[in-house]
Amino acid sequence: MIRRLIALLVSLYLGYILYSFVYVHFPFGERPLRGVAAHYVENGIKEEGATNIVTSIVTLYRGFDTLGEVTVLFLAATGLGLILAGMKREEEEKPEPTLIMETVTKHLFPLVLLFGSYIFIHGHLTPGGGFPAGVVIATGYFMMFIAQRSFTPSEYLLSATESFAGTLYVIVGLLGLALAFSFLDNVMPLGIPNRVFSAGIIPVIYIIIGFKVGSEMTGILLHLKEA
Amino acid sequence: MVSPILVIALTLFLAFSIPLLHMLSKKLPPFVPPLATLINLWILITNIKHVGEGAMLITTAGLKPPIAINLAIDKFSLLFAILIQVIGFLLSIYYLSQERKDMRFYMLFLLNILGASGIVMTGDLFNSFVFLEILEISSFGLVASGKDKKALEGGFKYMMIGAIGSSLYLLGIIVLYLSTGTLNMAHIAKLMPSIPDSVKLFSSILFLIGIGVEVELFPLNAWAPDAYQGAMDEISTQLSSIISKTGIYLAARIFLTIYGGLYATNIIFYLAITTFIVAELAALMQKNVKRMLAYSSVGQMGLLMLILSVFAKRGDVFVLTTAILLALNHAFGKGLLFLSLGSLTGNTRNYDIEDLKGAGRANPVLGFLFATGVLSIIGMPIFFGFWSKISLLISIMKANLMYLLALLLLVFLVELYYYANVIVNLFKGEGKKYRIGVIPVSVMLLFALSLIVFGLWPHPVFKIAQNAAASLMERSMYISSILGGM
Amino acid sequence: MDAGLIFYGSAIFLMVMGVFIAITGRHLIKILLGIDVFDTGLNLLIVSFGYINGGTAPIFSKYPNIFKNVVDPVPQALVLTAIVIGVAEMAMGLAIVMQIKEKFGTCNIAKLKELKW
Repeated sequence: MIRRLIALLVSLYLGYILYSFVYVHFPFGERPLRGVAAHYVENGIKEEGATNIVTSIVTLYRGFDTLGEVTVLFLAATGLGLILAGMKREEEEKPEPTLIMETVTKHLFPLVLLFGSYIFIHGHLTPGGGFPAGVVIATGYFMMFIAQRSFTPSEYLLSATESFAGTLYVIVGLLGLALAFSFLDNVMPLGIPNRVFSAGIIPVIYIIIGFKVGSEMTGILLHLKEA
Repeated sequence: MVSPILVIALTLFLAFSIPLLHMLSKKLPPFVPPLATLINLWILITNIKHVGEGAMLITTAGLKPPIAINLAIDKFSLLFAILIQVIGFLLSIYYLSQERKDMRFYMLFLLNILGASGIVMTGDLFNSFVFLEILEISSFGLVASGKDKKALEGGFKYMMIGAIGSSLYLLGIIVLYLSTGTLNMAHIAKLMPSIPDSVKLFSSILFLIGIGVEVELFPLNAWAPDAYQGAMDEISTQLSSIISKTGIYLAARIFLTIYGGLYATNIIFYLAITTFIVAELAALMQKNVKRMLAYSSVGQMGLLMLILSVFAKRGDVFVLTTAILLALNHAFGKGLLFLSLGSLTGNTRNYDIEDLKGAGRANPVLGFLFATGVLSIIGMPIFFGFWSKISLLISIMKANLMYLLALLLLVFLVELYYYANVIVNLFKGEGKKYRIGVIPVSVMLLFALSLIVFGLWPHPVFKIAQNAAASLMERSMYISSILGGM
Repeated sequence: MDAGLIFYGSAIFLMVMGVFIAITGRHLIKILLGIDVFDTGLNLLIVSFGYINGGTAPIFSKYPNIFKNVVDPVPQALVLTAIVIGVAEMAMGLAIVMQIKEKFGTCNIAKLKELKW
């Protein structure tokens, strides 16, 4: 009990230090837009053609980070598979899903996939993009795992999609290196802002990310379910 | 000219394509890591002559820093990048001798190398966080991939501390971003004088906690002995030769280049000295040889951080050169020790010193390799370790830090004692003979050979280390070569 | 009430709770949850750093009219990365915990005593 109390006091104290530091040095909302952020807001549309500035930061200005981020997710899916491989769990009796659940999920599933694709296709125009879209798609699969006993996506196909999307992403980056001497450069025409077909390679990257994140998250859920 | 960004792009490409290759043929995946590290090595070596004074700038997204992420490669990062590829190549050759059904292991291994090379090559602070996470998460996976009780426990402890540490590292980055409005390392370094002192101190402590996990500084190194001991021997090699060295690089880059002389120098000095002494004393008390090596590794990392903090106070190139030499010696020497120890126990994972009795006499080649590693680590003449230790002592003497000199000599004696104890045990009594393949022995021979060759001809290595140290010293050069004349 | 108090305060409160759970928890899953709560608090804190008084989301859906009054987009982009990394860490941690449960038969951290000298 005393240990818990000390732990509580210590963590509260650390929180208090952080709070007072943050409160004094970075008052809420009173920072001007400056540095690189000001550049992105002013020239973002001119340079990259996407009206969603966060998207152009994620995919191009800081696109190298996003490549790393995709790698981290890939790493998690791989590591999870490696660690859980060969684990067997005794089959326990699971309750049968009800008829309502089975019917509803069957009809909801394509809609969820459609919604996910909508999000990643419109990543450069609206909030969202490849990562949330991938997670939405994985949610659809998760729903099916729970509601349909017999539903199992092919692990072979998942792995192939994931790996193919990953290599494609690197190839898009290398295309920039080959055509404009800079990795991940926006080498496609920018088009007219606020159209679906605009912003150069941003939609391409987001479609790749959508597929990749979707298959990776589904793979993670599948491994956790089966282990 | 081959752009160094290909080191990262091609490694990633190959790592992503391993599942596809696996579908073509089950025999292909083990050959991908050696291929990747070899190509990387070639790319880096062709770039040596392009890296002059200051840093070489490689942009991404076609925009100049600080707008977009860039790679910044100076001689210091080039040295570490090459070291990582060399050790990675040797280890991946070593893995060829093992039967592994799971191709995912090779992906994790390759991504680990990728994370380390990314950290040493990037010129962007947040990018270094992303690569740090790639490095850390792949290390948790590699440590836990042994899948016995010890490996899992070590992996979990590492994950717990690593996760909190890297979150605080992220907070440090954000604090610097809020005060400067940029994430580019050179740009932050340039704007450093405009940041208030309390913000500098606060952020440097956050960075210290984040990096402290990687470089195994005292309160944050609880995971280290467990992870080293629990992991398979090759993974321990990787932890000590690649992962912790990357941590040292990051510490030097952040505290020397960005903060311009360690900001939290005194804190680091005391933490490092505690780490050094406690770890070496703990090593003395071990009955388990692998745990002893682990503590010795932690001690060496403490020593390196100690030298860095002393250097930051004095600003002496020679001190920094010795730190680099020590790091190189430790990377090769400790790697050799972990690998040969694994073979000496016949891969039974029983490292008790009593059970190792006579193993060296029964397997003379392995005994000789282990002894080479030990001799180089404790700094015997004709081995590489000799030059690094001697120059360390000379530089400390020059800096007139007599109490430190006395302390170091005392701790080196402790080190000598426990290593000698192991060697004596290895060559006393009768042990079991083990069969080992040609590949592992030749990899270990390469490690040993490098220690001896560097020991007999230290001049070129010394020169390289000196150049690297000098380029780390030239902070304004680094800034102006990245940002141009602005 | 002060907006800074609400946003910073609640984010930091989450971080404090996360650390508290992680250091006092005995169950491995609980520790993982603590780390996750800590990460969430940190992400909220970073997003609230990016707020600028009177600013709107940095999406110019009425293009050629660009309004200058937007919040800082960079922290949002960084948090996106940080969230994904948190997910990856959590997945890895869960996998390790599942194996630990299988091998040790328990999730109590006090019972993990293989590695003691």
